[in-house]
Amino acid sequence: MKGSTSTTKIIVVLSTLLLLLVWQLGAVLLDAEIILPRVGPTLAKFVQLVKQPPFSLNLLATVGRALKSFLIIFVVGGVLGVLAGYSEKLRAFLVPFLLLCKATPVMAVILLAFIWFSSGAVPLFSAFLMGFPAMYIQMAEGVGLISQPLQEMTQIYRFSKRERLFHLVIPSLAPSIITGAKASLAMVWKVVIAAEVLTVPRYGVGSRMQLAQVHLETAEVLGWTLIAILLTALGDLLFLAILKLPKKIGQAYRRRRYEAQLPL
Amino acid sequence: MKLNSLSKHYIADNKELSVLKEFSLEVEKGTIVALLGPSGCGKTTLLRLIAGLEKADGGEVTLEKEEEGPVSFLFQEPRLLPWHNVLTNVELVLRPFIKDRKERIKEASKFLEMVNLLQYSRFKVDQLSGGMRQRVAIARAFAFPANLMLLDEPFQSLDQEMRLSLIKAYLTLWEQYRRTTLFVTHNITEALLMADTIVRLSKKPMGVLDTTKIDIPQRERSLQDPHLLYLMGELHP
Repeated sequence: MKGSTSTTKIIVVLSTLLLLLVWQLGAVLLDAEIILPRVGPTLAKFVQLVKQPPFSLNLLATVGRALKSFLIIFVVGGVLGVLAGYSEKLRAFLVPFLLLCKATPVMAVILLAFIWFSSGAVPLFSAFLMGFPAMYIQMAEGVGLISQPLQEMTQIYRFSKRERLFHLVIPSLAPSIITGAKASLAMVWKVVIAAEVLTVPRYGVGSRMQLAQVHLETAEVLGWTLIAILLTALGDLLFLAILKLPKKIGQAYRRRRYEAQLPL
Repeated sequence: MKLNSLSKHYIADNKELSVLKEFSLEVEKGTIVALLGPSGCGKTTLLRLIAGLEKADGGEVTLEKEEEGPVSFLFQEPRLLPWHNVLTNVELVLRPFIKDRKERIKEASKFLEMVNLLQYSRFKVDQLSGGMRQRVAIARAFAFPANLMLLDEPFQSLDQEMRLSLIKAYLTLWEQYRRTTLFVTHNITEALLMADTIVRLSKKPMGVLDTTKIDIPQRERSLQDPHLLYLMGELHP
């Protein structure tokens, strides 16, 4: 197993190097920095962007918008998904809204939102509409997968509503929560940055991308793209780390109690 | 407990399937009654009606004052919460009755000790064998302050040795608490080792064929006992 993991890592590294090679070859063949700059100058631009003072402001603005959107999706999509899982009527009621979210092109949503709202609210609104279905559907389907035998057991042993929620529903829904949240989060980054590109708020990764594009600074556009990719990857890693946190705290707590010979 | 003319039917493929038709039975308080019948005759449905998991189409269940209140149910599978450890699975059913956490843990531990699982309190359910899991379910069923125990072939999926060990574990707890037990099985040996009364049942719609009382106390029973061997022959379909 360990061997296969390291083989996988080597394949990933080799594949990344191959992509960089294709990029470099393309740039050499085109020999036009304005269309495709070489890898070296792009990376240099990336480092320069990171070092510039407004970088953190741009980054924080995008991260802030993405996190706000994600939290709204997590709460609204999660709660509505669970309720819809239990209520066929609510599920039916939300079908048109869900279809609308899934079928409307991202750019159409952003453009309409730009007409209706201020530029700061556009990324939030667009990301919500685009990210909501993933969370909602996962939760609604997750409710259907809660073990019927365990539900009967909680009925027999008279679990209160609160106990059912915390000891049956939430643990049963954990895989759906994780899958839904990961899918929504991935969608949120893309939509927030796309919305920033179109609406150009004062700070934001997307705004910087748009300004660089207007000035035909292709290396800078690619530099900001690299930052956007890293943001998505780091967001995923951070999310996984947060998920592992309660388990780790629980293990540490149990170990401490066990070592102190105290009842749990 | 009295079951008066209980009826239950299901609709399958536009056909009405009658599982119980005016089924009546009397269960003496504080005894173990085994319902012995072929698979699929409606024994499980009967337990589910008594437990309130399903509604009867007709008839009623009358409980004596001492049998009223919550009911414990030992299912065919242990039905434990896999994300919790052994102790929490037992402790959870005590929450409405014992507010103090330390007291609850003490009480749950007492029942786990009775089924020889106290040293596994902190084990996760998936770290236990099938027999151990069912033992946790027995501890939970007795920890829950019910006056009526419903057993739906809880030893079915286990080998003979484990089965006998679990029957012993159940009887140890039962002798201490003497809760009225309605025990559904199609295994004659299980019925002979556990029951005060064995009720033989017919196929759908389920009805009582005959009733056999066993006067030997449970702890003195052995499968080599001539009387039990004779009854085994008699009860064989």
